[in-house]
Amino acid sequence: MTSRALTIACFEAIGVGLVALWLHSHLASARVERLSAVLLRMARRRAPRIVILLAWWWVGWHFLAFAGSA
Amino acid sequence: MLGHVRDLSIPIVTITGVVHLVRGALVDAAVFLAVAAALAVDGTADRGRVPRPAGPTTAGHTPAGPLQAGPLQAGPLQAGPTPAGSTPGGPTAAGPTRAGPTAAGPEQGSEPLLVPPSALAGSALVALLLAAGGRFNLAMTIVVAALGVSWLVTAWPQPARPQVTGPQVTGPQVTGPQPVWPQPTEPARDPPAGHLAAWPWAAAALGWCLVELVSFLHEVGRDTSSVDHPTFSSLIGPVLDNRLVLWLALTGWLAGGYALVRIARRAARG
Repeated sequence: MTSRALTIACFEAIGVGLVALWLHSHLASARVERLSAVLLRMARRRAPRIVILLAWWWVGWHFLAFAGSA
Repeated sequence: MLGHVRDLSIPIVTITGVVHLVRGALVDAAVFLAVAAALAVDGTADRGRVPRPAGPTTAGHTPAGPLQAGPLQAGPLQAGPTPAGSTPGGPTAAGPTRAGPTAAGPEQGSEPLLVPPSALAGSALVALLLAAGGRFNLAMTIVVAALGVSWLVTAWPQPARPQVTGPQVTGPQVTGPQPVWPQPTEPARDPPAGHLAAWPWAAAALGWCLVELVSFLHEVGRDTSSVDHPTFSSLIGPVLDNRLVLWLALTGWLAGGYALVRIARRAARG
């Protein structure tokens, strides 16, 4: 396996893992906290709340706005 | 663990800003460093504004002291072991039944959708208009920048301080439980063992950051991804050139932003 394939496989595994985690957290018997609850808990304080929104905004900025790609 | 992560918010934003500076993304760097500075300044100002109960200080007045059993401890602003489902945000974010382990194990109840169908439809419509022009154009840039400003302004306020409901201090003697003000600098505590785990989310995020960091360090030059170690951006970027994929991604980004703003506002209200 090449380094490139390994890198892509890592991204894919994490992506699949996140989807599985999200699905699992919505089961009644889940022992994993839902993402919305985790975010709400973090967002009770200003700094993490701003960081969460800043990170999400940057995703859009980076992939969509011309200044973000420069 | 999440309490410690929260304390690292400002350093994380600062380091990210420096990384943007190194990679030559000056606008990104300016935004991140400005936000880090604003958070640091505002945090310092908040500490100066935190009210203190009148009267003499005794060992019992410390946050870890016996007054933690005061009437407000079970209130909405105590971000520690209190299950998210018991917050005023209540059933919407974490579900009303997340009350720790039971005979059947911890449960998370049903919750209203963070993104209702009307918001999803609105996001899809806006995305359709924006995606028609493709990426990296002026309209898209203005919309994304405006959304960023509005999101940050919306999320900035701190939770309101609770009303003083307990017995008042009338002299040097403390006669009853005292109100406990939310401490902006107090790290939130982790839920006790047996509660629902949040670490898998942190592990996944950390794993993604690690892979991206390795790829970033292998970059040939600014925005020139290594063939052997492609960054996430270099993999996703070309896919987004397809208008349909762009529309779907833009819809998801807008709807996700809507959900995060709702979470932020709910948390800011306490």
